[in-house]
Amino acid sequence: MARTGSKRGATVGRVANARPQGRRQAEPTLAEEIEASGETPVDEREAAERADREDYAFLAREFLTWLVYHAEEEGGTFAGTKEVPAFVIQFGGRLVLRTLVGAVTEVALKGPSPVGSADLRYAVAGGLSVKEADLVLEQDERVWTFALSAEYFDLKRVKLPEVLDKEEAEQAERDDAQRADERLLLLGTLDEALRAAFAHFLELRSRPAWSKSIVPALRAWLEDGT
Amino acid sequence: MGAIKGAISVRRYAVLDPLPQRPRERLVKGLRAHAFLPLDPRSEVDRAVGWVVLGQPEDADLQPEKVLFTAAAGDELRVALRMDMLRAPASEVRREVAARAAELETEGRRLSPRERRALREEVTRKLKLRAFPRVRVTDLVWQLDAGRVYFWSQTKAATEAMVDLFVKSFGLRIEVEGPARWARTAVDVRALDRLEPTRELWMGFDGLRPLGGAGEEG
Repeated sequence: MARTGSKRGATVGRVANARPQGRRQAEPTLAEEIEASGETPVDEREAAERADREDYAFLAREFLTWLVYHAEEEGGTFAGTKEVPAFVIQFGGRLVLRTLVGAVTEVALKGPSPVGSADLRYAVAGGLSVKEADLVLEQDERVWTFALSAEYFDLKRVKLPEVLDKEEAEQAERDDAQRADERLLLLGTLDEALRAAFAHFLELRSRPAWSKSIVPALRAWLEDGT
Repeated sequence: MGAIKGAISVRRYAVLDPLPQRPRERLVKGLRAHAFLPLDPRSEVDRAVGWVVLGQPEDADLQPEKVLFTAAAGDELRVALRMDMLRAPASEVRREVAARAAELETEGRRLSPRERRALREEVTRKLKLRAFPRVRVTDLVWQLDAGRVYFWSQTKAATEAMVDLFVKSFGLRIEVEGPARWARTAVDVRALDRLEPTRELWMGFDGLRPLGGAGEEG
Protein backbone atom coordinates (compact mmCIF):
# COMPACT_ATOMS: atom_id res chain seq x y z
CA MET A 1 0.00 0.00 0.00
CA ALA A 2 1.23 3.48 -0.77
CA ARG A 3 2.31 5.48 2.23
CA THR A 4 2.22 8.89 0.70
CA GLY A 5 3.12 11.74 2.94
CA SER A 6 4.56 9.49 5.63
CA LYS A 7 7.92 10.14 7.25
CA ARG A 8 9.21 6.97 5.67
CA GLY A 9 8.17 8.14 2.20
CA ALA A 10 9.83 11.50 2.74
CA THR A 11 13.12 9.85 3.77
CA VAL A 12 13.07 7.54 0.81
CA GLY A 13 12.39 10.53 -1.44
CA ARG A 14 15.39 12.40 -0.08
CA VAL A 15 17.69 9.43 -0.57
CA ALA A 16 16.39 8.81 -4.06
CA ASN A 17 16.95 12.41 -5.02
CA ALA A 18 20.29 12.83 -3.25
CA ARG A 19 22.95 14.58 -5.25
CA PRO A 20 25.11 11.99 -7.02
CA GLN A 21 28.78 11.83 -6.13
CA GLY A 22 30.87 14.09 -8.25
CA ARG A 23 27.97 16.35 -9.41
CA ARG A 24 29.13 19.87 -9.88
CA GLN A 25 27.83 22.54 -7.47
CA ALA A 26 26.28 24.47 -10.37
CA GLU A 27 23.77 21.70 -11.25
CA PRO A 28 21.12 21.30 -8.52
CA THR A 29 18.73 18.38 -8.81
CA LEU A 30 15.00 18.98 -9.28
CA ALA A 31 14.41 17.96 -5.65
CA GLU A 32 16.95 20.54 -4.50
CA GLU A 33 15.33 23.22 -6.64
CA ILE A 34 11.92 22.42 -5.12
CA GLU A 35 13.42 22.45 -1.62
CA ALA A 36 15.11 25.77 -2.29
CA SER A 37 11.87 27.28 -3.62
CA GLY A 38 10.17 26.60 -0.29
CA GLU A 39 7.39 24.52 -1.88
CA THR A 40 6.06 21.70 0.24
CA PRO A 41 6.05 18.18 -1.18
CA VAL A 42 2.73 17.16 -2.75
CA ASP A 43 0.78 14.66 -0.67
CA GLU A 44 -1.03 12.27 -3.02
CA ARG A 45 -4.06 11.94 -0.79
CA GLU A 46 -4.37 15.66 -0.17
CA ALA A 47 -4.10 16.41 -3.89
CA ALA A 48 -6.76 13.82 -4.72
CA GLU A 49 -9.04 15.14 -1.99
CA ARG A 50 -8.60 18.72 -3.18
CA ALA A 51 -9.47 17.81 -6.79
CA ASP A 52 -12.43 15.81 -5.51
CA ARG A 53 -13.80 18.81 -3.59
CA GLU A 54 -13.38 21.31 -6.39
CA ASP A 55 -16.10 19.78 -8.53
CA TYR A 56 -18.06 18.17 -5.67
CA ALA A 57 -17.11 14.75 -7.06
CA PHE A 58 -17.13 13.37 -3.52
CA LEU A 59 -20.84 14.19 -3.25
CA ALA A 60 -21.65 12.14 -6.35
CA ARG A 61 -19.87 9.07 -4.96
CA GLU A 62 -21.39 9.60 -1.51
CA PHE A 63 -24.80 9.80 -3.19
CA LEU A 64 -24.36 6.47 -4.96
CA THR A 65 -23.00 4.87 -1.79
CA TRP A 66 -25.88 6.19 0.31
CA LEU A 67 -28.24 4.97 -2.42
CA VAL A 68 -27.08 1.39 -1.80
CA TYR A 69 -28.05 1.76 1.86
CA HIS A 70 -31.31 3.50 0.93
CA ALA A 71 -32.23 0.78 -1.58
CA GLU A 72 -31.46 -2.02 0.83
CA GLU A 73 -32.77 -0.63 4.09
CA GLU A 74 -35.51 1.75 2.96
CA GLY A 75 -36.68 0.14 -0.27
CA GLY A 76 -35.15 2.82 -2.48
CA THR A 77 -38.38 4.85 -2.49
CA PHE A 78 -38.55 8.55 -3.22
CA ALA A 79 -41.71 10.49 -2.46
CA GLY A 80 -43.36 12.33 -5.31
CA THR A 81 -43.29 16.10 -5.67
CA LYS A 82 -45.34 18.55 -7.72
CA GLU A 83 -43.03 18.03 -10.71
CA VAL A 84 -41.85 14.44 -10.27
CA PRO A 85 -44.15 11.50 -9.39
CA ALA A 86 -42.95 9.02 -6.75
CA PHE A 87 -40.36 6.51 -7.91
CA VAL A 88 -38.17 3.67 -6.69
CA ILE A 89 -34.48 3.04 -7.42
CA GLN A 90 -32.98 -0.42 -7.08
CA PHE A 91 -29.59 -1.77 -8.09
CA GLY A 92 -28.72 -4.05 -10.99
CA GLY A 93 -25.90 -6.53 -11.39
CA ARG A 94 -22.82 -4.35 -11.52
CA LEU A 95 -21.12 -1.85 -9.22
CA VAL A 96 -17.71 -0.25 -9.41
CA LEU A 97 -16.21 1.12 -6.21
CA ARG A 98 -13.13 3.21 -5.78
CA THR A 99 -10.92 4.96 -3.32
CA LEU A 100 -8.60 7.76 -4.33
CA VAL A 101 -5.37 6.29 -2.98
CA GLY A 102 -4.04 2.94 -1.92
CA ALA A 103 -2.73 -0.27 -3.40
CA VAL A 104 -6.20 -1.20 -4.70
CA THR A 105 -8.07 1.83 -5.99
CA GLU A 106 -10.94 0.20 -7.84
CA VAL A 107 -13.09 -2.86 -7.25
CA ALA A 108 -15.86 -4.14 -9.55
CA LEU A 109 -18.64 -6.32 -8.18
CA LYS A 110 -20.74 -8.27 -10.67
CA GLY A 111 -23.43 -10.87 -10.22
CA PRO A 112 -27.14 -11.38 -9.80
CA SER A 113 -27.27 -9.05 -6.76
CA PRO A 114 -24.08 -7.43 -5.55
CA VAL A 115 -26.20 -5.14 -3.39
CA GLY A 116 -26.99 -7.16 -0.29
CA SER A 117 -23.72 -9.03 -0.48
CA ALA A 118 -21.19 -8.99 2.31
CA ASP A 119 -18.52 -8.16 -0.28
CA LEU A 120 -20.08 -4.80 -1.01
CA ARG A 121 -20.42 -3.87 2.66
CA TYR A 122 -16.88 -5.04 3.29
CA ALA A 123 -15.63 -2.70 0.57
CA VAL A 124 -17.67 0.28 1.81
CA ALA A 125 -16.51 -0.40 5.38
CA GLY A 126 -12.95 -0.15 4.10
CA GLY A 127 -13.44 3.30 2.58
CA LEU A 128 -14.40 2.48 -0.99
CA SER A 129 -17.31 4.43 -2.38
CA VAL A 130 -19.51 3.69 -5.38
CA LYS A 131 -18.18 5.16 -8.61
CA GLU A 132 -20.60 3.59 -11.06
CA ALA A 133 -23.65 1.38 -10.71
CA ASP A 134 -26.27 -0.40 -12.76
CA LEU A 135 -29.63 0.91 -11.61
CA VAL A 136 -33.30 0.20 -12.18
CA LEU A 137 -35.76 3.06 -11.81
CA GLU A 138 -39.48 2.40 -11.61
CA GLN A 139 -42.09 5.10 -11.90
CA ASP A 140 -45.80 4.74 -12.72
CA GLU A 141 -45.30 1.12 -13.87
CA ARG A 142 -42.55 2.17 -16.26
CA VAL A 143 -39.04 0.81 -15.88
CA TRP A 144 -35.73 2.30 -16.92
CA THR A 145 -32.49 0.31 -16.62
CA PHE A 146 -29.19 2.12 -16.95
CA ALA A 147 -25.74 2.64 -15.49
CA LEU A 148 -25.01 5.89 -13.68
CA SER A 149 -21.46 7.13 -13.34
CA ALA A 150 -20.49 9.44 -10.48
CA GLU A 151 -18.23 11.32 -12.85
CA TYR A 152 -20.46 13.81 -14.70
CA PHE A 153 -23.50 11.63 -13.85
CA ASP A 154 -23.10 10.14 -17.33
CA LEU A 155 -25.87 7.75 -18.35
CA LYS A 156 -24.74 4.51 -19.97
CA ARG A 157 -26.56 1.56 -21.53
CA VAL A 158 -29.97 3.13 -20.95
CA LYS A 159 -32.97 0.94 -21.73
CA LEU A 160 -36.10 3.01 -21.93
CA PRO A 161 -39.56 1.72 -21.02
CA GLU A 162 -41.82 0.59 -23.84
CA VAL A 163 -44.38 3.29 -24.42
CA LEU A 164 -46.51 1.37 -26.85
CA ASP A 165 -47.34 -2.30 -26.66
CA LYS A 166 -45.97 -4.50 -29.47
CA GLU A 167 -49.13 -4.44 -31.56
CA GLU A 168 -49.45 -0.68 -31.38
CA ALA A 169 -45.75 -0.29 -32.17
CA GLU A 170 -46.12 -2.41 -35.32
CA GLN A 171 -49.15 -0.46 -36.47
CA ALA A 172 -47.77 2.94 -35.71
CA GLU A 173 -46.07 4.57 -38.65
CA ARG A 174 -43.65 6.66 -36.71
CA ASP A 175 -41.02 8.69 -38.41
CA ASP A 176 -37.59 9.53 -37.03
CA ALA A 177 -38.77 12.80 -35.50
CA GLN A 178 -41.57 11.06 -33.58
CA ARG A 179 -39.23 8.34 -32.37
CA ALA A 180 -36.77 10.98 -31.21
CA ASP A 181 -39.62 12.88 -29.45
CA GLU A 182 -40.57 9.74 -27.57
CA ARG A 183 -37.03 8.79 -26.58
CA LEU A 184 -36.15 12.31 -25.47
CA LEU A 185 -39.30 12.55 -23.40
CA LEU A 186 -38.45 9.30 -21.60
CA LEU A 187 -34.83 10.35 -21.16
CA GLY A 188 -36.01 13.67 -19.72
CA THR A 189 -38.32 11.86 -17.28
CA LEU A 190 -35.40 9.72 -16.10
CA ASP A 191 -33.25 12.82 -15.71
CA GLU A 192 -35.88 14.60 -13.62
CA ALA A 193 -36.20 11.61 -11.30
CA LEU A 194 -32.43 11.37 -10.87
CA ARG A 195 -32.19 15.07 -10.14
CA ALA A 196 -34.94 14.68 -7.53
CA ALA A 197 -33.11 11.74 -5.94
CA PHE A 198 -29.84 13.69 -5.80
CA ALA A 199 -31.63 16.75 -4.39
CA HIS A 200 -33.18 14.57 -1.69
CA PHE A 201 -29.75 13.19 -0.81
CA LEU A 202 -28.25 16.70 -0.68
CA GLU A 203 -31.02 17.82 1.64
CA LEU A 204 -30.12 15.01 4.04
CA ARG A 205 -26.41 15.52 3.50
CA SER A 206 -26.43 19.22 4.36
CA ARG A 207 -28.26 18.73 7.66
CA PRO A 208 -26.51 18.05 11.00
CA ALA A 209 -28.57 14.83 11.10
CA TRP A 210 -26.24 13.40 8.43
CA SER A 211 -23.37 12.89 10.86
CA LYS A 212 -25.55 12.44 13.93
CA SER A 213 -27.94 9.79 12.72
CA ILE A 214 -27.38 8.74 9.08
CA VAL A 215 -23.67 7.93 9.30
CA PRO A 216 -24.27 5.86 12.48
CA ALA A 217 -27.13 4.11 10.66
CA LEU A 218 -24.77 3.34 7.79
CA ARG A 219 -22.31 1.94 10.30
CA ALA A 220 -24.96 -0.28 11.88
CA TRP A 221 -26.00 -1.51 8.42
CA LEU A 222 -22.40 -2.37 7.55
CA GLU A 223 -21.87 -4.02 10.93
CA ASP A 224 -24.86 -6.25 10.34
CA GLY A 225 -23.58 -7.45 7.01
CA THR A 226 -19.81 -7.74 7.34
CA MET B 1 -26.48 7.21 -32.93
CA GLY B 2 -28.93 7.16 -30.05
CA ALA B 3 -31.52 9.89 -30.39
CA ILE B 4 -33.63 7.88 -32.85
CA LYS B 5 -32.57 4.29 -32.20
CA GLY B 6 -29.85 2.17 -30.68
CA ALA B 7 -28.16 2.18 -27.32
CA ILE B 8 -28.28 5.28 -25.21
CA SER B 9 -25.07 6.40 -23.59
CA VAL B 10 -25.34 10.08 -23.13
CA ARG B 11 -23.56 13.05 -21.58
CA ARG B 12 -25.45 16.21 -20.77
CA TYR B 13 -24.14 19.74 -21.16
CA ALA B 14 -25.46 23.10 -20.02
CA VAL B 15 -25.30 26.06 -22.39
CA LEU B 16 -23.90 28.90 -20.30
CA ASP B 17 -24.75 31.86 -22.53
CA PRO B 18 -28.21 33.09 -23.54
CA LEU B 19 -29.50 32.43 -27.04
CA PRO B 20 -28.74 35.14 -29.59
CA GLN B 21 -31.37 37.44 -31.11
CA ARG B 22 -33.34 35.68 -33.89
CA PRO B 23 -32.04 32.33 -32.64
CA ARG B 24 -33.46 30.15 -35.43
CA GLU B 25 -31.64 32.05 -38.18
CA ARG B 26 -28.43 32.46 -36.21
CA LEU B 27 -28.20 28.85 -35.11
CA VAL B 28 -28.91 27.46 -38.57
CA LYS B 29 -26.35 29.87 -40.04
CA GLY B 30 -23.76 28.64 -37.49
CA LEU B 31 -24.57 25.02 -38.30
CA ARG B 32 -24.28 25.55 -42.05
CA ALA B 33 -20.96 27.34 -41.65
CA HIS B 34 -19.62 24.16 -40.06
CA ALA B 35 -21.49 21.54 -42.07
CA PHE B 36 -19.59 18.35 -42.74
CA LEU B 37 -17.31 18.38 -45.80
CA PRO B 38 -15.96 15.02 -47.00
CA LEU B 39 -12.22 14.46 -46.96
CA ASP B 40 -10.21 14.68 -50.14
CA PRO B 41 -7.86 11.67 -50.10
CA ARG B 42 -5.33 13.65 -52.16
CA SER B 43 -5.06 16.43 -49.57
CA GLU B 44 -2.78 16.46 -46.54
CA VAL B 45 -5.80 16.66 -44.20
CA ASP B 46 -6.70 13.32 -42.61
CA ARG B 47 -9.60 14.33 -40.35
CA ALA B 48 -12.92 16.06 -41.09
CA VAL B 49 -15.47 17.15 -38.49
CA GLY B 50 -18.82 18.78 -39.16
CA TRP B 51 -22.58 18.71 -38.69
CA VAL B 52 -24.98 16.49 -40.62
CA VAL B 53 -28.73 15.89 -40.45
CA LEU B 54 -29.79 13.62 -37.57
CA GLY B 55 -30.25 10.07 -38.84
CA GLN B 56 -28.85 11.04 -42.31
CA PRO B 57 -25.04 10.95 -42.09
CA GLU B 58 -24.69 11.68 -45.82
CA ASP B 59 -26.92 14.77 -45.70
CA ALA B 60 -25.05 17.94 -44.78
CA ASP B 61 -27.67 20.23 -46.29
CA LEU B 62 -28.80 21.67 -42.97
CA GLN B 63 -32.10 23.33 -43.83
CA PRO B 64 -34.10 24.70 -40.86
CA GLU B 65 -36.91 22.15 -41.32
CA LYS B 66 -34.38 19.31 -41.01
CA VAL B 67 -32.76 20.51 -37.78
CA LEU B 68 -35.29 22.58 -35.83
CA PHE B 69 -38.17 20.81 -34.08
CA THR B 70 -40.83 21.64 -31.55
CA ALA B 71 -41.19 18.95 -28.90
CA ALA B 72 -42.75 18.57 -25.45
CA ALA B 73 -39.66 20.18 -23.90
CA GLY B 74 -39.93 23.18 -26.26
CA ASP B 75 -37.85 24.06 -29.31
CA GLU B 76 -35.01 21.70 -30.10
CA LEU B 77 -32.07 21.67 -32.46
CA ARG B 78 -31.33 18.11 -33.55
CA VAL B 79 -28.21 17.27 -35.54
CA ALA B 80 -25.38 14.76 -35.63
CA LEU B 81 -21.65 15.30 -35.44
CA ARG B 82 -19.79 13.44 -38.15
CA MET B 83 -16.08 12.74 -37.77
CA ASP B 84 -14.18 11.06 -40.60
CA MET B 85 -10.60 9.90 -40.29
CA LEU B 86 -8.63 8.84 -43.34
CA ARG B 87 -5.28 7.29 -42.61
CA ALA B 88 -3.12 4.80 -44.43
CA PRO B 89 -2.89 1.63 -42.31
CA ALA B 90 0.40 1.89 -40.37
CA SER B 91 1.27 -1.80 -40.76
CA GLU B 92 0.77 -1.60 -44.54
CA VAL B 93 2.90 1.57 -44.73
CA ARG B 94 5.69 -0.19 -42.79
CA ARG B 95 5.48 -3.28 -44.99
CA GLU B 96 5.54 -1.36 -48.26
CA VAL B 97 8.32 1.01 -47.14
CA ALA B 98 10.46 -1.98 -46.11
CA ALA B 99 9.82 -3.74 -49.43
CA ARG B 100 10.57 -0.65 -51.53
CA ALA B 101 13.66 0.21 -49.45
CA ALA B 102 14.99 -3.33 -49.88
CA GLU B 103 14.41 -3.07 -53.63
CA LEU B 104 16.29 0.24 -53.85
CA GLU B 105 19.11 -0.94 -51.60
CA THR B 106 19.88 -3.92 -53.83
CA GLU B 107 21.60 -1.36 -55.98
CA GLY B 108 24.32 -1.36 -53.31
CA ARG B 109 23.71 1.86 -51.37
CA ARG B 110 21.78 2.21 -48.12
CA LEU B 111 18.99 4.82 -48.10
CA SER B 112 19.75 7.93 -46.07
CA PRO B 113 17.26 8.91 -43.32
CA ARG B 114 16.01 11.74 -45.57
CA GLU B 115 15.43 9.35 -48.50
CA ARG B 116 13.67 6.92 -46.17
CA ARG B 117 11.40 9.73 -44.89
CA ALA B 118 10.57 10.78 -48.45
CA LEU B 119 9.79 7.17 -49.33
CA ARG B 120 7.49 6.84 -46.31
CA GLU B 121 5.61 10.01 -47.29
CA GLU B 122 5.19 8.80 -50.86
CA VAL B 123 3.92 5.39 -49.73
CA THR B 124 1.54 6.98 -47.20
CA ARG B 125 0.13 9.31 -49.86
CA LYS B 126 -0.39 6.43 -52.27
CA LEU B 127 -2.00 4.12 -49.73
CA LYS B 128 -4.29 6.88 -48.48
CA LEU B 129 -5.92 6.97 -51.91
CA ARG B 130 -6.90 3.33 -51.45
CA ALA B 131 -7.96 3.58 -47.78
CA PHE B 132 -11.52 3.90 -46.52
CA PRO B 133 -12.34 6.66 -44.03
CA ARG B 134 -13.34 5.66 -40.50
CA VAL B 135 -16.70 7.32 -39.97
CA ARG B 136 -18.12 8.22 -36.53
CA VAL B 137 -21.55 9.79 -36.26
CA THR B 138 -22.84 10.99 -32.89
CA ASP B 139 -26.27 12.46 -32.27
CA LEU B 140 -26.79 15.77 -30.50
CA VAL B 141 -30.01 17.33 -29.26
CA TRP B 142 -30.06 20.88 -27.91
CA GLN B 143 -33.14 21.77 -25.89
CA LEU B 144 -33.08 25.46 -26.60
CA ASP B 145 -35.45 26.63 -23.86
CA ALA B 146 -33.83 24.55 -21.11
CA GLY B 147 -30.29 25.33 -22.34
CA ARG B 148 -29.43 21.65 -22.19
CA VAL B 149 -27.52 19.57 -24.71
CA TYR B 150 -27.64 15.78 -24.90
CA PHE B 151 -24.65 14.27 -26.70
CA TRP B 152 -24.66 10.54 -27.36
CA SER B 153 -21.01 9.85 -26.61
CA GLN B 154 -18.68 9.99 -23.65
CA THR B 155 -15.40 9.33 -25.46
CA LYS B 156 -12.68 11.94 -25.15
CA ALA B 157 -12.19 12.38 -28.90
CA ALA B 158 -15.90 12.84 -29.64
CA THR B 159 -16.71 15.10 -26.69
CA GLU B 160 -13.70 17.34 -27.30
CA ALA B 161 -14.53 17.64 -31.00
CA MET B 162 -18.17 18.44 -30.18
CA VAL B 163 -17.39 21.13 -27.58
CA ASP B 164 -14.89 22.72 -29.97
CA LEU B 165 -17.31 22.70 -32.91
CA PHE B 166 -20.24 23.87 -30.77
CA VAL B 167 -18.32 26.95 -29.64
CA LYS B 168 -17.11 27.66 -33.21
CA SER B 169 -20.59 27.21 -34.69
CA PHE B 170 -22.71 29.12 -32.19
CA GLY B 171 -20.29 31.29 -30.22
CA LEU B 172 -21.82 30.04 -26.95
CA ARG B 173 -19.99 28.37 -24.08
CA ILE B 174 -21.06 24.99 -22.74
CA GLU B 175 -19.99 22.87 -19.79
CA VAL B 176 -20.73 19.36 -18.63
CA GLU B 177 -23.90 19.18 -16.57
CA GLY B 178 -22.66 16.88 -13.83
CA PRO B 179 -22.95 16.63 -10.05
CA ALA B 180 -21.53 20.12 -9.52
CA ARG B 181 -24.25 21.86 -11.54
CA TRP B 182 -27.00 19.68 -10.11
CA ALA B 183 -25.77 20.37 -6.59
CA ARG B 184 -25.59 24.13 -7.16
CA THR B 185 -29.19 24.22 -8.38
CA ALA B 186 -30.46 22.06 -5.50
CA VAL B 187 -28.65 23.59 -2.52
CA ASP B 188 -27.45 27.05 -1.59
CA VAL B 189 -23.85 27.38 -2.82
CA ARG B 190 -22.58 28.64 0.56
CA ALA B 191 -24.08 25.61 2.31
CA LEU B 192 -22.56 23.43 -0.38
CA ASP B 193 -19.11 24.92 0.09
CA ARG B 194 -19.29 24.15 3.82
CA LEU B 195 -19.74 20.43 3.17
CA GLU B 196 -16.73 18.26 3.94
CA PRO B 197 -16.32 14.71 2.61
CA THR B 198 -17.77 12.20 5.06
CA ARG B 199 -14.70 10.85 6.81
CA GLU B 200 -16.07 7.32 7.13
CA LEU B 201 -16.94 7.04 3.44
CA TRP B 202 -13.52 8.40 2.57
CA MET B 203 -11.25 6.67 5.10
CA GLY B 204 -13.30 3.67 6.11
CA PHE B 205 -15.34 2.94 9.22
CA ASP B 206 -13.03 2.48 12.20
CA GLY B 207 -13.04 -1.07 13.47
CA LEU B 208 -15.10 -2.45 10.57
CA ARG B 209 -12.67 -4.72 8.76
CA PRO B 210 -10.96 -2.09 6.62
CA LEU B 211 -9.59 -3.18 3.28
CA GLY B 212 -6.09 -2.27 2.22
CA GLY B 213 -7.34 1.03 0.90
CA ALA B 214 -7.65 4.52 2.25
CA GLY B 215 -8.57 3.38 5.72
CA GLU B 216 -5.47 1.32 6.40
CA GLU B 217 -2.41 3.14 7.60
CA GLY B 218 -0.63 0.73 9.86
